[in-house]
Amino acid sequence: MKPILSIKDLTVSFPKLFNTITAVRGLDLDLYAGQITGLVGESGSGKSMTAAAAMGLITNQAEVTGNIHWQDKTWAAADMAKAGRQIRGAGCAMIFQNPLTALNPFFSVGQQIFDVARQHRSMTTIEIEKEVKQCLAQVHLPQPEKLYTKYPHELSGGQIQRVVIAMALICQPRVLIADEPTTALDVTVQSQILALVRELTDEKQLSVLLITHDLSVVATVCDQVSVMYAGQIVEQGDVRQVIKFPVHPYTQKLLATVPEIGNSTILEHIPGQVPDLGKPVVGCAFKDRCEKRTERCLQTPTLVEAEMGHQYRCFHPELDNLNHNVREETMV
Amino acid sequence: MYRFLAHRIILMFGILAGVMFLTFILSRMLPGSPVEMMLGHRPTPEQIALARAELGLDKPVFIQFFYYLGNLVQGDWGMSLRTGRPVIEDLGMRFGATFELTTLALIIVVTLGIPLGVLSAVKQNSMLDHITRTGSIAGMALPVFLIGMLLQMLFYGKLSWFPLQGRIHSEVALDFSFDPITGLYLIDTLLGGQWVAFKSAVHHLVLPVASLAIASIAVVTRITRNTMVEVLGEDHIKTLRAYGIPARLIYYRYALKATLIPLLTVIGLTYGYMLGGSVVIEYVFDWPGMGSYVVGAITQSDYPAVLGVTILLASIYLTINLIIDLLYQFVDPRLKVA
Amino acid sequence: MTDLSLNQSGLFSARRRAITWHFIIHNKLFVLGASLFFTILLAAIFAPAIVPYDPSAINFRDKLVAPSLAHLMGTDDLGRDIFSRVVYGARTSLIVGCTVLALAMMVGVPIGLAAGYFGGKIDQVLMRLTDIFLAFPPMLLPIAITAALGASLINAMIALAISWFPWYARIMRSSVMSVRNDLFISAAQTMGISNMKIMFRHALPNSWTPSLVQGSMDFGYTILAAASLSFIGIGAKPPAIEWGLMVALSRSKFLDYWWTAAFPGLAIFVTVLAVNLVGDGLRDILDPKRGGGL
Repeated sequence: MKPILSIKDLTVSFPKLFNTITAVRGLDLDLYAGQITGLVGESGSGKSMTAAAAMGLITNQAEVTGNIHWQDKTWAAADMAKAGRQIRGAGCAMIFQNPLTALNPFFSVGQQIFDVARQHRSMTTIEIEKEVKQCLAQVHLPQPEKLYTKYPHELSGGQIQRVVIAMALICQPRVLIADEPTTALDVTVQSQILALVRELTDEKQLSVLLITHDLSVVATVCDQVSVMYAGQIVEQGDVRQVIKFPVHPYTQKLLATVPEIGNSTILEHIPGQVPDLGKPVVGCAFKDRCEKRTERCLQTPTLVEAEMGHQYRCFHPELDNLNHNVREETMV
Repeated sequence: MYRFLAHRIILMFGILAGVMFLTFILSRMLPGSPVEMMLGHRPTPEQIALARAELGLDKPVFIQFFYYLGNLVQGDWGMSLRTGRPVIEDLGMRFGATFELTTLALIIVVTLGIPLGVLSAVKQNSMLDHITRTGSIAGMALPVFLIGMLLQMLFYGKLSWFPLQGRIHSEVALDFSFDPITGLYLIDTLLGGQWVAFKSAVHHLVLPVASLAIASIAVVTRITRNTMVEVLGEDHIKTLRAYGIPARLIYYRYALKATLIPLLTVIGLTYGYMLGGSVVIEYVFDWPGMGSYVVGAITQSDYPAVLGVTILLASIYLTINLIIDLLYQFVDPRLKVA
Repeated sequence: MTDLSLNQSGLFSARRRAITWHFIIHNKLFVLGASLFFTILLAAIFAPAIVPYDPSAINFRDKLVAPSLAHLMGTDDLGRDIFSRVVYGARTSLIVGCTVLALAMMVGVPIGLAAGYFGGKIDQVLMRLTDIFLAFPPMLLPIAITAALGASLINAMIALAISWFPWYARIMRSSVMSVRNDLFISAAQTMGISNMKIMFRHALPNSWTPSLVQGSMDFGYTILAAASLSFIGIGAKPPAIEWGLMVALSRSKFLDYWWTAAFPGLAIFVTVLAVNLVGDGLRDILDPKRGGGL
């Protein structure tokens, strides 16, 4: 199956006065139709930057290298800011974290969705209006007729997030990127929104990239998961595989910190901090916080396949749990 | 909605009463008590007591204040000690001049300052932006009177393009007379069909209006720019970008609306600033408005006049702020009360 | 390379120099304003030592001399050296600025503190009172008050302070209100500490920054206002040396003798500019979005 959106060798760095901050280092990511891929990591791991770069939303002071494959076309990632306008909203839509500030407070909800639709689709005004109300209904918002004229401040956080999803849908995108869509919401609302995303993904065969730091979200609704650390993917694969049999030490620790998923009853934490991205990384980025660290970790590990689809980037993977043969990797 | 309006109007009158009370206290503090003014020097104690009774000065302060308020409301704002006319008459004659000056200046400030600020924000860090920001900072540091005098030096002294002072050439006013229907020379001269007089009025307006405008444009441009820049950094703009809305549309439809609304307050404040600045400008350009009236009144100890101007200008300012608050109700959807 | 290890923490160490240089580059305008202001401050403090002539010395022989080597800024119509007068004028303006702001803050801050901390009726009453003062267009209230008190620089300063304190009350009030609900206040209240103590020991130190920033931005405006009052004749009066007054005195002659008005005016401009740059820069530095504190 061919991926709908493919990011190859993406690097995002910000040159400053005295140093350069590298947020994303050589990242590869594929998104497939009908699948929700979770992108997990702590703050500062580079997940939001990845999404922003893929959509061409990064501000000018960044240096971006790599390629974006979108259906049949290929763009250099550095060109996405200009070229990306074609795919933004139309092929690839994005949802952000804070629903309360995502919408313009001075225009009605319906008007804003209308404007987005008019930008990307050629329909008459009446047709667009109908479409807007249909989308509002699709996200299970009650009384789309009345909602059309309401202003953002009249709605709750959960409702606004649904409106944003409706806005994303109206352009009939193939790819949906959701950047921490549930972080700012109550737990009950959270599960409703996630269920909605799942439903829409299945119905419309969307490719969804769900960015989050919350592993329970990933466990609930994702098909695939990629774990990011310090600008790189350190483990990725089928979500059930990765969660049941985590290979990379970081993934293991991450899972241990979530009481529902991890097996311990003690609240675990990962000692240390994310490395300073302003300094070049020597070898494995996680080595300073890893118990399994050895001399070998001073060399740079590459992404290696453990079994079908399950990849990791480590010299000391926890492979005992896996029942299949491990293919030996070659050093670079 | 109407409850809000009523509430605000009552509040305004309350504040106005407070303002009048303040000026009342000031008037009682002024040197040269009313008694001495009436009786001249060296009055006998009996004469003083009589005069005080007559003027109601022996009654408690609050009663005096009520008399004072009553007078104000009935239109008795005292007599100017200089002109000998009722203060309210003097003010009526001079109101048009100040109104013409400040309104024209406000129009210029808004039509030039706001677009400049917007453009400066849209093209951040461009040459235009840097020039605008530098100009703003410089403009805010210049005292209003200096701007006026510099303009006089350059455009009258060196270039002789514009007259030094006054509102119209006196000979022109005599030869080509026109009826002061509105008190605004620009309109009255046109209504009277007096083209020469119109041109003279325009000529005389240029420098004073420019002086008043320059000082305020700096502020308005700066605030517009900063507000717009802030708005452009907000999340909802990010959403628009993420949906591929073209930059032009983002700037001039979405960001602009979010910027203009808080700008209403700035416009109100600017008008207030101009009411104050007009005092200085009228003095510099010998402009026959309320500002020069008040300056002359102070230097010649004409206190009823001073208080009259104070109350009038404060009332105007309060009214303008009230209007702006009302406008907000219509314009900002976040405030729409069901 | 060995030098680095020796110089890591000295006063002029490489690290310190790098940080300073970084600061200068990122806050160019602030540094410019601060340098200008510092120069003016020094000039004001050491005025007697700097000026070539006695600023009040009348000398009809040398009246209205154009700027020259002997008189850098020329002389006025009484033959007084303008440069000397401008330098002494700096003293007046700086003192005026500080005094007015100090007075306004001393009155406004406690009022705002009380209003924000106690809330309720006290807040309503105090706010209505400040509303009355804020109802006047700028300049008008100082004019009226100075008229009542009599024209002098001191009265002008009092008048300006009276017109200004409501702003500081307002600012203080809103920052206190945002702090009032913080945990440490509740903690202090639970421990039974008196309200006065809480207000001054806990609430005040955590909410005074906006007032400070506002003050630094207002300093320039204060100087402008005082100069304007003196210009129209109700502020400083001769023989006081004040820039606005100097411009006023030059009015009859300035068209032909430009330096009598230009230099005092320029002095006002430069000083207010410097102060504004400092104020702006300070606000940017203290802006939480930029990473906060000094």
